[in-house]
Amino acid sequence: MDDNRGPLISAATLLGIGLGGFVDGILFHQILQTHNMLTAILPRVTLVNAEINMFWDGLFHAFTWITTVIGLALLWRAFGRADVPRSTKTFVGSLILGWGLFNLVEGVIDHQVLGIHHVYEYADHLLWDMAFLASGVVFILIGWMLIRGGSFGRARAPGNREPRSVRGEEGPFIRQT
Amino acid sequence: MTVKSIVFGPVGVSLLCASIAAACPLCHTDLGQQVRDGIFGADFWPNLFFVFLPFPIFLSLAAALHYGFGRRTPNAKGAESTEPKHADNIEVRNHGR
Repeated sequence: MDDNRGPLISAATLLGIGLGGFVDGILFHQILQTHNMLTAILPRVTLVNAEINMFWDGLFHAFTWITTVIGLALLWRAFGRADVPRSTKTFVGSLILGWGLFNLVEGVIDHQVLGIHHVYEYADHLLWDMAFLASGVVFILIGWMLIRGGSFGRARAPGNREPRSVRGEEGPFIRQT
Repeated sequence: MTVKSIVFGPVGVSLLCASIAAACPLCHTDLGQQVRDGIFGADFWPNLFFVFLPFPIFLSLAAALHYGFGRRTPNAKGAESTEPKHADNIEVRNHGR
């Protein structure tokens, strides 16, 4: 039987993208209020502009929520497949990879290409934008390293029982030395 | 001053002053109308495109990871074992058996 980590990686990556998007929205848009979705176009200097930005923030959160739900559905499907290993390292690595992809892709598109907002609107935003992109690259590297170290082991042992590694006990495999 | 007046006093004042902040997209006020005009004006579709743009890219990357990575086929390179060479949460035991 093939060992296929693809479904687990893609599901957890989408979850990481969604959770990374929520970190951005909750931390930067709402708690710190360093920017909103269109603050480079509509600065939050009036109540009307703040309300308009709030609307677009809401749509951003809606798309982020949909991404998270898709990731959750894919994760549920992956858990039902016998050829997908249940590796904690692969799962956590993919979550971090997803967060990094969010920071990198969103940073390049929204901050650099479209310029609809910047991480910190009220000062020299280039430094903050670069730090955001750098965090994305670092998260991607950390995630990728964890995924590489993750297990390819079988998800289902013969006899349709979960392997002991899944149940938190000693595994049935002998490490190759 | 009673507890009720302490609790409900500020709420009552807020309700009396609510028209000041009634600027939501559904509010039937001048400010609400300005918000609606700002959202659903000529820039609505470009703004929607801008906000939506990263998400197809995210889904494409996830699809690439789903179909392109993480698969290991036994015997793909000769008689490669399907047993993990490094498996997390698996302790080494029966060493040397």
